[in-house]
Amino acid sequence: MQTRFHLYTVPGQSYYNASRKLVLQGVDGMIFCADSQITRLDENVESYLNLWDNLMDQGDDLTKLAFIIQMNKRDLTDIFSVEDLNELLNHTNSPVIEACAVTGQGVFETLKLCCKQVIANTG
Amino acid sequence: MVKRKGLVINDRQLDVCDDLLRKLKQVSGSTFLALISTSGQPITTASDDYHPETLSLASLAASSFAATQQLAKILNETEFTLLFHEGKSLNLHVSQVSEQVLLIVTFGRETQVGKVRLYTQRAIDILKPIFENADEENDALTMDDDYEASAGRVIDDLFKDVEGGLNAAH
Repeated sequence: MQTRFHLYTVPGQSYYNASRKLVLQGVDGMIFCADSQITRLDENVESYLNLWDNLMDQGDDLTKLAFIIQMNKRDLTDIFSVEDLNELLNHTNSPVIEACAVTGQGVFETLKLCCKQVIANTG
Repeated sequence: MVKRKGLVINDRQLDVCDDLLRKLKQVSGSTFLALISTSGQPITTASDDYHPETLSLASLAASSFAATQQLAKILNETEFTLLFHEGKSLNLHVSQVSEQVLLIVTFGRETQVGKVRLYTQRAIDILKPIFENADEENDALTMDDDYEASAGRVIDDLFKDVEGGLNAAH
């Protein structure tokens, strides 16, 4: 049996919400890429709530979707601790991976974990 | 609100679809046909010489179709069930079969749109119940026990190279 993954990204700006909704149709797993910087908290929370709103709008059962929170930009100095970001964004108690996109740290690890969760939820 | 479900079709249903696509291709004079899911996954295709890149075509057609549904919403229309692109030498016709399935048909300038629409609609009338009843018929189907383990091994192998490369770079 062949398994095929389609990977899509959504626009970061929330005023592109129609595009975000389109991408979420038929989704099996998601990676929420949070900016760890303290100054980006509002944007993180807005995107996070918007994601759940869109999923509930399309009738998804949130417990059946693979969901990983990636905490990006861990190399910067003015950032939240993992514990704080967890408390702010991780109400689903989902797996968390620390990442630094410029060096690649945690990037493939996140994708791999998401793929495995999707497989585990199938069947 | 539309409840999203997984789409499962069995071998017998797929054979019926394949057979019907072949016939539709013949009578409508089209060059390429594909059944795809509304999430952009190809289900099956029928073609002779013309083989477009099916994966990308399915993803893009499904997203275009989803965009037309949003247009319908904005215009207070309940649904747009058809998407048509007219080209210099090729036309693209995407129509809705069921809540979760779309039918892509490409055809040349020598074939009349009306003919394609007529036969496509007849094919949809046959295909629609197949997909609408697919859930009832295939509810009992489950993945093999070792699917998760074997797919997990493939994923590990797939990421072995990139992760190894990253570790070496640091």
